[in-house]
Amino acid sequence: MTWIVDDLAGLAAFLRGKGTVYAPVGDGGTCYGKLAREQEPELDSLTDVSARHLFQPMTHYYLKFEDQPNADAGFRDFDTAPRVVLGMRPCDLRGLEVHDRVFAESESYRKLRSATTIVGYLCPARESSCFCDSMGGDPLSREGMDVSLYRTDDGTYVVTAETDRGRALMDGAPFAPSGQAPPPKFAEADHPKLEAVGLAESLNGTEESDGWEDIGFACVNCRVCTYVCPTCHCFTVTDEVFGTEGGRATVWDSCQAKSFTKEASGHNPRAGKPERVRQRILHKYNYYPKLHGALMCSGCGRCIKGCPTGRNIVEELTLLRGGSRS
Amino acid sequence: MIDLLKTETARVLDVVDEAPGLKTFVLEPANAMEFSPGQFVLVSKLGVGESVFAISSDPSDTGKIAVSVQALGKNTNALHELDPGESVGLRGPYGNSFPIDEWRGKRVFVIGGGIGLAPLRPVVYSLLARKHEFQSLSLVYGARLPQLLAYKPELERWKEEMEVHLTVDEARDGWDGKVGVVPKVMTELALSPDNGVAVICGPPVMIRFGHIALRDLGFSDEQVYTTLEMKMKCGVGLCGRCNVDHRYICKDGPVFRMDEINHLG
Repeated sequence: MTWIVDDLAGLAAFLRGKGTVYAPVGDGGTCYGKLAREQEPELDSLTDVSARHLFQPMTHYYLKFEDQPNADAGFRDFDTAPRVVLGMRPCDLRGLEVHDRVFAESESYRKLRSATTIVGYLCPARESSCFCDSMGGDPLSREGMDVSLYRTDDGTYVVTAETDRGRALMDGAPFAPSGQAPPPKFAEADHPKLEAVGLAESLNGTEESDGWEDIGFACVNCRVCTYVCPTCHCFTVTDEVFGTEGGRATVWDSCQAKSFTKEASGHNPRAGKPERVRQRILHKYNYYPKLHGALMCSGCGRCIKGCPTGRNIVEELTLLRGGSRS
Repeated sequence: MIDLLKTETARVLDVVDEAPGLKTFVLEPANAMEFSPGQFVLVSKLGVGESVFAISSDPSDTGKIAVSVQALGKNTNALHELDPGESVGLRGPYGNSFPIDEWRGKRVFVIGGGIGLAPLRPVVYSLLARKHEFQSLSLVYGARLPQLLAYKPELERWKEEMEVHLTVDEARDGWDGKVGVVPKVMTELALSPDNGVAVICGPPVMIRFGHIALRDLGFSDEQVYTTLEMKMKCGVGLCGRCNVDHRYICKDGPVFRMDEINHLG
């Protein structure tokens, strides 16, 4: 079933009747947030930060006490009220596949996932940092979307229910059904490219490469690359106390932080930048593929866009495979 | 992921002073916990934090588990304040275990350094419980100073039942036993690789040189087992920090045969 929708405000208003709606918000769409009444989603450019926090909260107190620590502090699960995530692009959905694999054994994660209906947005334009095509992605893929959405040349939107959950979400939609939908509008751009065939295997045995010194040199340990990434999923577990309140929380963490592997004795197996940048790159393109048969990168390019020192993971992979920086 | 981090409670039954800065806590889990030698648990005080400890007690002593805690950081210092009767958070057991069944009929050498004997103590208990099944059982154990040798009462008891070689890096306090680091003593003892299996745990440098000593004695990497330690938070293969190559030490380990980890560096 397909509909033509004139503007996003009307679509958002309809979806809000089905659950809380999360969509790209902020100036030009910097990140995913709760869409307020009368607020329009900002779909024109890729968000700076992925939708990861909607599926793995940045901080979640799963044990909490209000009056001194006590053994009876109850377990607090994720909020699993029905919700809609609007505007996730194909690269974000490929990132979510990683979370689905890694957290498959967690009932809390599965419940959060099944409380979520995804209205995906086919990519309207390639950006200069995008490399999803090199990672086997397709900017117009509808994989993982319950409902797909795209913009057409005349500025209207085409909405299609792709799954049963999507059909249920669109039930009662007050939009005009479309028999023959116009094609999506897509603007190409120059972007980094990499031969992904054999990428994982080509990195076998690169642990001792001199390349890591070169790659790590420009890193300033800011961790942005891991926090904007739709596939990164590492976290820490920490106890915090504020006055008489406190609890135990899972909090996003980063393999690029020195403290990530530093032990109480002071010993740190990944004490230097070369070891840390190696961990991030090999986890994504070598270790994870060995376990799951897929790359842990969707090519969204956010790490390239967000790096304050201009590091470019496509160039770095090329370097590691014996090529030179472009 | 959070559902996989739920904690149970346990009551502190006993606190044993092993050595300066090292205490063993005997815990009674609210829900009975069975474990195999080599596995670990996370012990916590809510509002302070959770830490990973190898289980150091006898697996056949059901209803109890013990962890040996060296006071080093925030969590371990807080645990050192615990008295019998108090309650702690507990989850586990996690990780794989030593394949003791595969060692039947062999000469087994248990080699420990300092606090590294903690994960090996359940191995020794299990080996002794069925000692007729093995060709021979030996322990080589060392610490920096005599006072830092852990489990002294057990070491005395084990001397009656197996070959025990103790050594210290620096002789003090009237020590009249062997002096020298564990790898040196292993070489002096000429541990025989013939039908042998070695299980080694200690500080990283001791494992490294102990492994070299075993190689020089003729042990193949298939004959040597160790248990790796890395900072861990979740214990269930999700949080990422103990990831080495495609393995997670907490889930695929902590016990490895040397040939499985040689390339991990």
